[in-house]
Amino acid sequence: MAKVCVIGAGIVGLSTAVNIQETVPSANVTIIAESFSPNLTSDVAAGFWEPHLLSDTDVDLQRKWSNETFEHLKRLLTTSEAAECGVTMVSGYQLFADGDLKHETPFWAETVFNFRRVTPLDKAYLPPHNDGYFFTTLLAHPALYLPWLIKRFVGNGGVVVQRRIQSLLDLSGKYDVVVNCTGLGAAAIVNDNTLQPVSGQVLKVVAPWIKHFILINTESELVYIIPSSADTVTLGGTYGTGNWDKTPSKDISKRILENCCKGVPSLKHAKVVGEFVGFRPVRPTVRLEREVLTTPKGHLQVVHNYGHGGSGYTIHWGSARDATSLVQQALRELRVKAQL
Amino acid sequence: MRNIVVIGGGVIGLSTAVNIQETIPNVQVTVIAEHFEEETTSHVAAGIFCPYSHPGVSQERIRTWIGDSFAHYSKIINSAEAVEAGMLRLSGYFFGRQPYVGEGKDIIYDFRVATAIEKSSFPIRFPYADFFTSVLVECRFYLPFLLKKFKKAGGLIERRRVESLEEFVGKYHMVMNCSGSGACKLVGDQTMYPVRGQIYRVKAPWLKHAVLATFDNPVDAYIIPCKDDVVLGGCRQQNRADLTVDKFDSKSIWDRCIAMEPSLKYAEIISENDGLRPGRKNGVRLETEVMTFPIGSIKVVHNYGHEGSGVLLSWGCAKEATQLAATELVTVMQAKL
Repeated sequence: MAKVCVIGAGIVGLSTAVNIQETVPSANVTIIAESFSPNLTSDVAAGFWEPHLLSDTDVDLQRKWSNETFEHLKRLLTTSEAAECGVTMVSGYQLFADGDLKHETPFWAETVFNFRRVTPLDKAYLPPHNDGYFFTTLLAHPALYLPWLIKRFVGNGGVVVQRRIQSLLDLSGKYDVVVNCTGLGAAAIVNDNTLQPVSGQVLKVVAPWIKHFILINTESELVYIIPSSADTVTLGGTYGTGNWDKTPSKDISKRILENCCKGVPSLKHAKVVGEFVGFRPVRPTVRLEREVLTTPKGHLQVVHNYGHGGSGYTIHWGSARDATSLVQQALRELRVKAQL
Repeated sequence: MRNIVVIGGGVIGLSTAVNIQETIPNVQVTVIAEHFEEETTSHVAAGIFCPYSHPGVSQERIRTWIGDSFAHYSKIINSAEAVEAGMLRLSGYFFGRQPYVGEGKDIIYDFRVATAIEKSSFPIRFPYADFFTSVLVECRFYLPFLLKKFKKAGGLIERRRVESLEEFVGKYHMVMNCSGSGACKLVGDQTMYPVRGQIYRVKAPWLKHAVLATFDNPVDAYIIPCKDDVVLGGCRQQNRADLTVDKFDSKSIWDRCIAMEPSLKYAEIISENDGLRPGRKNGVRLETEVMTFPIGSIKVVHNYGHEGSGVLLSWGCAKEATQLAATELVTVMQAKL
């Protein structure tokens, strides 16, 4: 029996923990985290699948992880569990109002359904734009998906512990492998100063007549309207750096609402039910790699899986699978060592 | 001041009444109907705007009606009135063992063949699948919206049954006969027949796409996300006129819909309902007639027999009916000179 600890209970931590349980039958997995849903960055997100803000992460890896995640969500979609786990299919428009007439077709155009460029006919009924696409993608509604992952984890025999970890060394001698899914927490826990929090403020509103998403990239802003698998719609967005304040700004909320109403006038009747700020864990690349730490109690096998930027939901399952492979590698090494 | 009476308070009648107010100057319009709002056939429907075949009417005329209706809805959807009017934009899929046939594919926002991979994201594989983006017009909101507009512009309402158009001779300049299934008795149209439909309304907010599939009969499985609920259907039972929820239909509709969308297992059933679409042998009757009675004659514009295409055709037919009325009124005025 191998003892594996996953630190972090956000989208990356939960999906990694479940993947390990379901791939490595000999593993006993414990999740240790300071915070849980609904108080996480993962809860602020819309849960929307679209590769975004992955900086210089290798494009082949982006493609691999995002495709695997799309396939995973698609499988859930065709089961009766779709409603319980909050996975849904949603169509809509990504528009550019930035003066640039031709944006490159994104690498994920073949993965989503119905990808097409907007045509002059679309101009008649969409907010002003100079280019854009229509596509059908998937989303995992955080308020349902995260609890569903925890339920699956616990159902598989997993143990959840609420505790703040100061350093990975604390876990030495207690676990065979530690999987670091701490998102922004990695900045303090493993002294990673390449992590940059990119804040995002959103409004959650009740607007059940919105069945499409609309994302509008202007020169200075990204305006988005993303329905959820419940009655709420997420309105956004912002990209702030250097600010650690979790308190939503009233001015920003007002601007988000104004921008969204300009794009979709019917939103004037939307009822605001929440304002939230989340910090995207942006890093030059996603850190998905092994490390062996030397501690007073011996060596500690670590697998890092953090820094998913603005694409947690988009790549979570793919990166969880790769992290699981690394855990298996680490366990094999330990078994070999034990035999010597 | 010209007095015009509209018979019928469904989507056809109210659209016609409002159109007349907005187009013909110097008119007083009265809508007389036995049923309004939740009592109408229009109210039962989900209201999805779908390309559809209308063999009795010329293609050019149908396209004008569909095009005018679509433009009208699209304009409201892009305004702040969308919610009050009960309108929203919606994408979805058609599935079947034959290619989808219907006029208006190039009029709605989008219509194209679904890919094999896309088809694989549904539990049942049909040989033909199309993806479309169109509008939904929920009469449960749209009729009150039209009624409010109508009254605000000075329109009058009478809630009662009309036995014969003879009562309007000498009292109104024009009758707009928008009586739907009532036309059978009202003007003796023996070519009318009911087409019964039954639906569920359920709570399933995770569904954002419409799914319309043909298993054994045309579109006998449909799942249509509306503003606050999802409508499941359906059936098209010709010449069946009873208005009670049929448990056999309930089960077969449910089985087909859940086969297309297994997550409906978690849907909460809100209600079941049925309605009688006003079917007509040669399709929509939209024409002028001078009807003669013992006490005199009266000009009538007939605008009925839309079967399942009320929402699809309402504004376009209302526009043409209004034009017919306007032409006749000019003739009347000229005759008086």
